[in-house]
Amino acid sequence: MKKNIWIFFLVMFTYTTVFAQWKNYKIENGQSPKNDVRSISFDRQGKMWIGTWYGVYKQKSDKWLIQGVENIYVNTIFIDDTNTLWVGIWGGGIYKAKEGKEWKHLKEACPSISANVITADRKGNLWVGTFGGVTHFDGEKWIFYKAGQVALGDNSVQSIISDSKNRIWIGTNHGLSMFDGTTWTLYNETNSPLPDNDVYSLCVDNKDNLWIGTCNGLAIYNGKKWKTYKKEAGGLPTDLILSIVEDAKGNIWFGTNKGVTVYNGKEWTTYTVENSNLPDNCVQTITFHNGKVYCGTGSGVSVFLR
Amino acid sequence: MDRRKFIQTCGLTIASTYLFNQTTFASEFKRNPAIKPIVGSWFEFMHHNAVEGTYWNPALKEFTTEQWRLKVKEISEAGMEYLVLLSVADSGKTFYPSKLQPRYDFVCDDPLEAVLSAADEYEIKFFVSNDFWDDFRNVEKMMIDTEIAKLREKGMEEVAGKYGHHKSFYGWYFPNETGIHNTIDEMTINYVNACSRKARELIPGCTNLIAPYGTKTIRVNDQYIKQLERLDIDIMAYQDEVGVNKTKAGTAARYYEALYKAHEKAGRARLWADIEVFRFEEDVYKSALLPARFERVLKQMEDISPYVENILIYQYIGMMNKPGSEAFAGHESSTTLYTDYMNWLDVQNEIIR
Repeated sequence: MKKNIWIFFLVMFTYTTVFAQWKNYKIENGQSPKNDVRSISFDRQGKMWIGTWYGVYKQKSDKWLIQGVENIYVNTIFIDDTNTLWVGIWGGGIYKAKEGKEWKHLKEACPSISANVITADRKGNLWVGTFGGVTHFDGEKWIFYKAGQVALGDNSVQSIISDSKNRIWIGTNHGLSMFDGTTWTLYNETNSPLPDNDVYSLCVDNKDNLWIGTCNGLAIYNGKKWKTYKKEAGGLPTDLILSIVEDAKGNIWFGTNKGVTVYNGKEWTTYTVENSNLPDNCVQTITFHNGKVYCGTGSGVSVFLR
Repeated sequence: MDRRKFIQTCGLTIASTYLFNQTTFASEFKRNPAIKPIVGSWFEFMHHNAVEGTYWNPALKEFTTEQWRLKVKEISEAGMEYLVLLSVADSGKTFYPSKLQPRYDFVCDDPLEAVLSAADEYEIKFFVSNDFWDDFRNVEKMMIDTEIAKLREKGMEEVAGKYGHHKSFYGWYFPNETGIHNTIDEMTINYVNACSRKARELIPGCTNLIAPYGTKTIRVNDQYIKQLERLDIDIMAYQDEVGVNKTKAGTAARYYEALYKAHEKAGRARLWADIEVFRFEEDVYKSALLPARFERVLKQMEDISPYVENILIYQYIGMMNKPGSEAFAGHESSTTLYTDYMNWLDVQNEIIR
């Protein structure tokens, strides 16, 4: 009996040390909105901040400390070059907090009561995707863009990214919009090979290819040509792409509701609850920081170990 | 090869080619018993928001009694057994001959009688609406105003008196949308419980349903379970809110999983889902509703199937039409959603057409 227990522990140790691909963090045990991680960002000191469906948390050693108000629905967080935290809340608009303190509500930054995404362009200026259009801080004032006035797919903004030319790409539920600083252009199923008009995620790689994750397939656009990928072709576990990021080696990571997939240009590898120690197959945000890939899942943060 | 064998071989080749062509589309789907089919839908005589109902309101107005019957038949043939009537009145007019308010001047004199009779014939269970006697846009007023409550009860008495004999009259639907933010509030409990009391007084043994929204903001905890215990309702079909762009397809499972546990603990209302099979033509709430692509709908179904007892959709009317239907109401793409869903259903049911 004693021998069996030792063998059991040896097997478990070997499994967790040799086969574990992920280091997992949870705010609290069990199913909780606190573990429902929607957004991950790092401050200038390299500390991890996460936006969850309960509030904003900052990692301190092995502990997670709540920041600001509790019991809010955080969709997105972003920490800018001045270490100012920007928080987009479902049903709460936009808040900013210098060094994570003194939270201030910014009504002018969010024309809707809900913000879905906050990011900065290549010049460091903020872009906010809301449930009622896009806002942009040009360094002095907030500028509001709305569908109907510009070629924005619609006002439900799901994703924003800027490319090397500082063009802004915006994913909506009615296609992909591009703003080059002067002109807006809309790409959709009708005028392009975009596989679906529900554009959930965007990434620009080091070769300036735009990776577009939709509700119904993946597309890559290099400014001239389009290429599309579907699950049926092999590689992706699903056609529903919730998040995309590129790592330092040029691998592209895809968060889906059926696990996380990495593409190295030749092969696709998918990590799931079933084949790894990933705690949840719903990978809704991915961040690359300091050589590591961080996945925000419905059950906490998972850091890829190798 | 002798002539007989040659003819046999040719015949088999032709037959297998024909069968292959017939099943090619259907076989694009793989059978997955874990995905629950759609067993019911919301139903309406007129969409309450004129812009949203652009593509089917004009047709419904012209529907004859026979067309309403065909529509119910069509829905039944799509494998659905529950229909949830959104409203019996709207903006001061009714969808049946009433002593309380004037009737909408539709081609069919009594659409409610037409669909309930058809539902009797096709063994559909109807949750009949008890409301929209006043301005439904003011949800709070609809729930708490005593004069509106009196009118609603009179309406329920009239509807039960005229149509309660139908075997398809399965229960009531309380359509003032229960928005849940954090937990179920007292106003909702009072409103729902009052409606349930009256409903059972009029139709003993009826089964009653509500369809809350705000699903992703529910805090499933002890307080929520206590509120569920106090809520006098048989079925809660939570909205997945994918069509209104509030939730991304394929990401609602965790909410329903948490609700599943809460409903199990509370042991009262059954947990169903109300999935949105529409998209907006342009901006949310400000443009026409169009059918969603079936690939998206399938992801919605797959996502929540493990946690809910039944999947209803919002909605068949306007979003789905059998090709060639003589009771056609909706955008032309509604036949695509219908066809794709039926092809998938055939694969699920292992039917080769």
